[in-house]
Amino acid sequence: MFRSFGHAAREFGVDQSSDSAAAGSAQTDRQLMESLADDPAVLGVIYDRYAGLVYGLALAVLRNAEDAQDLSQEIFLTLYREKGYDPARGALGGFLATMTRTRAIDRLRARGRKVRLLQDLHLTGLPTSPPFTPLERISMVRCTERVRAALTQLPENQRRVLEMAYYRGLTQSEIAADLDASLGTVKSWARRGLLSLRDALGDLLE
Amino acid sequence: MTHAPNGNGADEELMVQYVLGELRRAEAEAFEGRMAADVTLQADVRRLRNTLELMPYASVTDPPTALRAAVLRAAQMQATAARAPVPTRPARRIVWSRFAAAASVALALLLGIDAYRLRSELELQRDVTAVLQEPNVVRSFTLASTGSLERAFGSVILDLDAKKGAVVLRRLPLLPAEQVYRLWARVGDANVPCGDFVPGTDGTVRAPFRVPVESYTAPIAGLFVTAEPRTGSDRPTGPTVMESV
Repeated sequence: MFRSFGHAAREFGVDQSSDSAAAGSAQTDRQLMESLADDPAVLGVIYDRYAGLVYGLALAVLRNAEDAQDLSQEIFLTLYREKGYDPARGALGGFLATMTRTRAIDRLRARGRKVRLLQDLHLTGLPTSPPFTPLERISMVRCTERVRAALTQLPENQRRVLEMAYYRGLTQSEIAADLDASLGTVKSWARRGLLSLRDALGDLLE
Repeated sequence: MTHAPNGNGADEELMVQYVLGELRRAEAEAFEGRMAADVTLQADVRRLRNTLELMPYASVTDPPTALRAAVLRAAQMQATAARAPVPTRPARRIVWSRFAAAASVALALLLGIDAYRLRSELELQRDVTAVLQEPNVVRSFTLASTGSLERAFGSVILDLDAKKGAVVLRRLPLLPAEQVYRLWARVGDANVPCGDFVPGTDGTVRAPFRVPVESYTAPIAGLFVTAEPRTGSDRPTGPTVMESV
């Protein structure tokens, strides 16, 4: 899904003779974000890098393609307009995923769904937490394959509890009621599922 | 002290519940206290949190082709609009956010606030953002006085991602020594205390505070400030002096 910077440049009518344009897809997220203020064409490179993550997450939460497209556009325009991303605080992929999930769940909530705040799943009580940048190690495609494979390896109940918590924003009490299981059982599934996932993806986590 | 994967089950359980946001406020704070003094525990929690951050990669899906062009067109329109000269007044760069500035202008027009007050609002936005040092995921609130505090105003920014917030309040009257101003978040049917503040001699409060997201079971409907006894209560008992607008 990676495209050349030149594609974005063409759409913006930007002069493609620039070396930076040719090198766009090889730039780090930090470099891209620094360039974005002066060159809106850079948004195309960022889009190519993260549109699948943003759109897929929006689709997984909202379960409606039109809503997911609308939210995806909102996410990238917010990134472009507000420039509130701080590379020192975390990877751009994590930032976009957090913003996407927050707003997707806000939209679910607006539909009357009882869901938790996104931020419950993104506690940052770690005093010095370095940015988590899995995509600096492997490609998006490979990362997706690894995470899907790891989730597939989990017993159904463990995977389901993690997905209900992440994509639907449900508390464990709500999940227990939904699955007609005891709270203790759901806690156990969540713990074993998350720990197994951690062990399966260990090389990506540092 | 040892931890997962070789650690004891109780620690693992606590870590998972913490990362999933299932701990009560007091439990989360106690756990964070332990974490602050235990780098191994910090590393274990970080690995679990990073595990959770990988979840969305499982749902990666190529968007419809037309979406890319739509996003770039919209961005181009914004860029063009931003570059367009504004002949009636000099351009003014609002470092934090054009959106915040526009919202303040709209709010000012709506409320009939004068130019001086508008400048103060914009300065306030920058002030409160500076306290928070460029937050990532934010919600912002403008606070206006209620009742007798006609001149007080303020702004709050919540960085829910980092569980921290910042408040700047101005023109607050000093309180008796045994009282404080307490900020509350209206969350569902509950009011969650966010922090106690004492203004300086100039009537200004400027402070960061911790956001207890684990206490939130619903969206934040609004914020308000009450005058309370220093000995805290979980419920507002004093008069409401400021409300989010």
